[in-house]
Amino acid sequence: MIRSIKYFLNMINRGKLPELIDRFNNGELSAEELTGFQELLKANPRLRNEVMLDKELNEILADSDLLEFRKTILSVQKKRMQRKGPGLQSYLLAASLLLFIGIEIFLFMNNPRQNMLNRSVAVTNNQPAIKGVIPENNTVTEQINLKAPNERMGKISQKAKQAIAASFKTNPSLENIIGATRNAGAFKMEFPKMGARLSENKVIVFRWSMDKQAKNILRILDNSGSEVYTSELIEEKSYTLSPGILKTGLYYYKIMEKDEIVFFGKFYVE
Amino acid sequence: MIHYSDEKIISDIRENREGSISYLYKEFFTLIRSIVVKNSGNNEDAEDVFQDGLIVLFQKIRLEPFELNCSLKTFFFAVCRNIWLQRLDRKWRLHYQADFVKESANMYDPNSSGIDEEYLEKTRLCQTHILALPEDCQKILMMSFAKHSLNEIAESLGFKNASYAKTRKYLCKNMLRKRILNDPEYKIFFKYD
Repeated sequence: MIRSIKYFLNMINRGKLPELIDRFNNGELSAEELTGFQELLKANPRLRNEVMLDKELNEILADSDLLEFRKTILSVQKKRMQRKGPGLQSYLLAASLLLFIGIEIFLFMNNPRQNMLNRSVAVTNNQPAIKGVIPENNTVTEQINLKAPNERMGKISQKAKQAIAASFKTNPSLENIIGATRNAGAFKMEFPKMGARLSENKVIVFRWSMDKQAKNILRILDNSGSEVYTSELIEEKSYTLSPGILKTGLYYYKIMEKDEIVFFGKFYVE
Repeated sequence: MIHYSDEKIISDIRENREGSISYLYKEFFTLIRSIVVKNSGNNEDAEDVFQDGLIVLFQKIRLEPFELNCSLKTFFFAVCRNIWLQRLDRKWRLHYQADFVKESANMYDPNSSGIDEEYLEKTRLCQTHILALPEDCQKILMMSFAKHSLNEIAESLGFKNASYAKTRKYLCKNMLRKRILNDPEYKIFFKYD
């Protein structure tokens, strides 16, 4: 009996897609699984692309000598850039930036009322509050810090801008789950605050309280919904993530107890 | 500046030493940049072409025996020029549906040179993303492709068990795939359908 597409969709929903792709490309699927997976590939061009990309990645990863050589080139390139220091263009850029900041300060000083209005708008555009989860008095601080990522991008290449903008794009289906918790009364997420902006170069501490002893798992998803990090079973009510694991972007996370989501939140890494 | 002989450069590249790569940059980068910039390119293009030129050189050198009929400088210059002309030709065709170098087809011959410019772009894109992954992800992926067992990976990285190493391996691979899929250059170089 050929396994149905539903079976594979179920696997994908359980985060098993990377494993399926890997096993497919390594020829490790059983005959029955293979037929079903091939059906799924026929129907899904995006999946087909992922599988093909994975195959190419396997070849590139297998050539460790070439990868090491690239590492050396990049290291030499980096040292060269550091030695070169800022060129005339950089000085011009810095001068324009200073001029821009000057104009901004001038406009701010001359229009304080409008700025106060902006602050109020920011406060009212708050995230939907999750009762009993985020202390009310923290919302103002959180929101005033919230600026569109575009405003902070400065002068960077168009390509990089597009990539950064894509990594901050909200995911409507995941946004809908935010706050949808089970055991809501018993669980309280203390940190990070909903929508917090965290630094890529610092440790990220997840801390919560709950009125019972339980083992949890922290799962972090990027804004495309793909799982990018899974903790081991956490016995304490906190978990520390080392710096550099998450790159710049918007992330969603869930605290799981067995197979149940006890909290679903989001944060930004900058 | 110390002068490196062709033999020294070749042996350094074969053994992946930084010295000769720095030397090649100092000696030839200005020349390569001028070719690229004079032919519709910019500084960023020149950096890419130079990097790709080094990759081609490495690939040729590691295939024994590597024999040169000219000086290494001439060879490297020809490789970089060839890469840039192919790249320009591809970009030109993309924008104008016409060959950029149709009147001077003898200037280079993509088939005889053995250089696949699009492959170089793809490899650069993927390798750059691999090397931008968190340190532990790079280690997991490299170790698993070097045929280390999951137990060995778990032990080396201080994971609780092989099962967790396996989960991390798939997550890292997935993270890598997503980052490449979200890269604006992905659609240009990976055309599967």
